[in-house]
Amino acid sequence: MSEQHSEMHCRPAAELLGDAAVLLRWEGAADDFLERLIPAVQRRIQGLCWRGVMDVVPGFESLTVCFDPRQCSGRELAALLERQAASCEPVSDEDRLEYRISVRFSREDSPDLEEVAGLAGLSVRGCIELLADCCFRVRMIGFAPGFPYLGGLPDSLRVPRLATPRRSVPAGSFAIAAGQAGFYPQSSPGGWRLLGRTERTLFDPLRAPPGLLRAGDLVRIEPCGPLGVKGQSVSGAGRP
Amino acid sequence: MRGATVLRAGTLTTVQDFGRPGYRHLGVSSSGPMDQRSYRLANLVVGNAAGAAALEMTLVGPALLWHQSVCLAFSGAEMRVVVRLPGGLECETGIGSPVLVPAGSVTDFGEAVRGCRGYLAVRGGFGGAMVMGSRSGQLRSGFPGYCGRQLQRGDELELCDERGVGGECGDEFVQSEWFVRVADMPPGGSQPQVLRCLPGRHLDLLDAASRDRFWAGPFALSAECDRMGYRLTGAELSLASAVQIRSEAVVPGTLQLSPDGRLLLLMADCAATGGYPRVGHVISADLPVAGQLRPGDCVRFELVTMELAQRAVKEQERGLALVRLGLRRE
Repeated sequence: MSEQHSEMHCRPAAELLGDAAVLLRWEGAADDFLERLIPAVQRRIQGLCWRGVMDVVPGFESLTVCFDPRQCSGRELAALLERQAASCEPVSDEDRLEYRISVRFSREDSPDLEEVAGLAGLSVRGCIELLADCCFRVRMIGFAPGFPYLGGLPDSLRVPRLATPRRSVPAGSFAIAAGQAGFYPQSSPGGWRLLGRTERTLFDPLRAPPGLLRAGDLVRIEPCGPLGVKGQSVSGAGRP
Repeated sequence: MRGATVLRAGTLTTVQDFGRPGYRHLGVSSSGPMDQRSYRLANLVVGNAAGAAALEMTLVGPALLWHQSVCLAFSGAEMRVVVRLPGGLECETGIGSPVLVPAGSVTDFGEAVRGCRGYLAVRGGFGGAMVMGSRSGQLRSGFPGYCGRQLQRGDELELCDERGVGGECGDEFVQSEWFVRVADMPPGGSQPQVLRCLPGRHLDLLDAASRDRFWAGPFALSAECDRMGYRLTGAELSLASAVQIRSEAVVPGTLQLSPDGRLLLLMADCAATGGYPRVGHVISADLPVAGQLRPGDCVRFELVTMELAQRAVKEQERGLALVRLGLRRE
């Protein structure tokens, strides 16, 4: 890739979401670049505490700033944001927090595990091993309070959403769909495939900050439970 | 401080303050009143600081028994408000006007005849638990309002007592002679409410016929309407070609096109992110009137410029600033 090419991709385009939000989009830029750049820009903007700026929301390839239209104009804000984004360095590895989240795999907690393993051409054990070897990256929080969209799922586990979403998914469920992984922090309806469940509280409205994870963080899952216990062939081994 | 007992809850009554901005990056919606303007007006009329918690009463209001003498104001949807005094006397009271209600009275809110949501402010503001800096009820996540749910019969509402509210109100029923003109409500029925709109990213991707249908309208609010958003019925719209969208931020006012070709207007409790095409954004100045629409009401969309949107929101703010100025005590 030529220098010129990559530089072009680093310059975001601004889109006005009505009169109270502006979105910067880095279309076509590489994911492993954006997952480091966008949290850096987010933290920079949050730290600046501009008057009238209320929310700074990371997306997969975008960053959205919600503002009070009585105090800011979207076009002016877009120009300021572009200037800040241009001078941001992507988050370095030392600045990324890594969370190890224990996930229980069992008949009750993993209703879709067998099917997913089948679709991937793996054994249940092999599927859990593969997940345990993943280094997931928090790309954004959305859908529900504290729901992390995790990148870094191997292509072999790219499975479609359920044709009919469940009316109620248990809190803590670890799920995958459409090339992404995530945790349901609260019980809610959901169409992702449920592979396991954690006891960790991912979102507590009374905690400060209320969310455990933030965009840019790294997540590794540690299998436990009857299907997830470390046996001779289940890894977890090879990692400290 | 003890405030009121809920004798009848109404259709959907929640506690709302300014909401909880600053948490969308954690997937938390901003919430707050569906009609910010009427909410702020009610607070202004009782002399509250901006952001004091009020009740949002949907379609049919509650009946409340007051344990303190209080100063109340009511704004927003046109609801009949009857005050039953401890002696048995019944008085009707109006919109946009402060009223002193003695302890032992019952305020009884009827059915909204125009508009959808009435706001009841009490001098000092309603109390109760806060999470993430706000008392606003967000029912889907179970955040306060009242224990994270809508009001029920028998609930006890607390008041903030920072101002010593009870003492200054006396024990007589007093209705003021002045009132503040409240905002117009949607016309209702088949007469469409115009919502001014800025173009969304995917508007140009609608096929030509769909684009015409979008601007022609009208669309009606279906029964699937709540504080998260309104599903609209009317002409189906389709994109000229399918687009793949990765989830990104959405905001109240965003008009999404759902896969069945129907429009979805996002409101105060909408999720922080979404992955449907965005055809437009209702301007901030028109969100209060949008918050007063009821199921069955019709809307039409009108394209405006950013300049007009900014002017409209500033004009609205000047209107409220004037009320604040006029009511200021030296």
